Amino acid sequence: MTMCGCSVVKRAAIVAGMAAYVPSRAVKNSDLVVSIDTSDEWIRTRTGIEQRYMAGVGTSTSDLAVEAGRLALTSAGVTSVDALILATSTPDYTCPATAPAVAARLELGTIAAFDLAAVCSGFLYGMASANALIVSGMAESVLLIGADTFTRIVNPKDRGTAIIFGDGAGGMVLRAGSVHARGGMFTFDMGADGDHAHLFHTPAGGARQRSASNDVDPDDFFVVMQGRKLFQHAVNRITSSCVSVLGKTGWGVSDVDLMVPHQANLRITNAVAGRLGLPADRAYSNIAHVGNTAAASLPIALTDAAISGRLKSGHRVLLAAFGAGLTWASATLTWPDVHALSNRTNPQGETDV
Amino acid sequence: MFDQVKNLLVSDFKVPPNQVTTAATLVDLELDSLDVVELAEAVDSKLGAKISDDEIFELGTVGEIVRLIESRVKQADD
Repeated sequence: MTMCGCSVVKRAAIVAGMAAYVPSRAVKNSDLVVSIDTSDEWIRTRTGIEQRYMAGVGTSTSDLAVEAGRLALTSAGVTSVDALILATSTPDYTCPATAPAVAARLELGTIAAFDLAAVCSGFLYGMASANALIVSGMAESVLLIGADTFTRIVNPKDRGTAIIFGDGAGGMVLRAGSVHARGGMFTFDMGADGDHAHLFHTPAGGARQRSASNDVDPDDFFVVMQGRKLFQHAVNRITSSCVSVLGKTGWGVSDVDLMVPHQANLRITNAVAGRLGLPADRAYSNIAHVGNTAAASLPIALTDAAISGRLKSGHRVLLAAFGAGLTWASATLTWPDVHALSNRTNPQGETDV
Repeated sequence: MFDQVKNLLVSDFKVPPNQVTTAATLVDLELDSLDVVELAEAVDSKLGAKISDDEIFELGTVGEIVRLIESRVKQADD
């Protein structure tokens, strides 16, 4: 026993299932050129994105979340869990949360289910929360889903945002185990800075706008992004968070087999890898094929990396994310022997970093 | 200093050399807002002058950016 009375074999959350789901409609850069003053080359050069998926008429966030959740449960070989966390900032309704409806549709019974809003850092915040539920003994297993339909809140005329975002969902099943087991999570680093919330926000639709006036500009229901400042914060925060989590884990940069970051923009991934001194071939990117899917981006990237063989059992993995809020997080784990599932027939595509 | 800035724009930002003139704006060179952040960092790390992305963003031309860099280098030397 240690001084704190904890067991010598530390309890941890283990990744037991992994999956991704995207809508069927792929929208290529050339499709966007029709309505926005841009070009395929400009989008590729500036963001690394070649296409993204968009949810069809009538399809909402919960629809994607249910499909990703179902695949994740299948991947883990289980039909029940103790809790469900849905990371999203595009919930079906402002009230109530979307997670209970997703749990019901997955026939998970009356388990605890709640939404977690940390925008693009949501999935990593969710992993930390699921880990805490499991390590504390409150749950033996958790289904974590990251799902967003950002194309619903992006102004289709705004070149700065319309080209970046896509829709999608990803799921991960976590179960109790030993920190030394493959799939075990080691360390998290999380942070937030609300002083810069205005750099990426949706002005209307919440209580703030409703408290002020009924006279609303329809464009205020779309996200507003100050890309230059956001880029600066993203690179600085992700880099320092990664340095912190690597230090807590006792890893050097050379110990990392693969960094899987939130897929915000290829240039952010490049800049972070460069600052960390991480070789380009150890920073994963699939943004060319799915765009930025917000809270879904990390689980979709993990799934694609696992299916393509870039992520192998036993690999030491560094996860990192940055989102509006501002929020950021990073984590370390060893990749498990898990059979990741995706509804895409060819999710092997990878973006050169 | 102009030649150093030009070399930076050509090597790090893939700007065609013949387009880099003192009168050229960053828009003329097709640099976007994220390039401005990266340019400020490159000026610091490679030319030893601390200028912010806001300052670069507000300046109109390559010539004005070069003058600001020269004044910052001189301040640092003093």
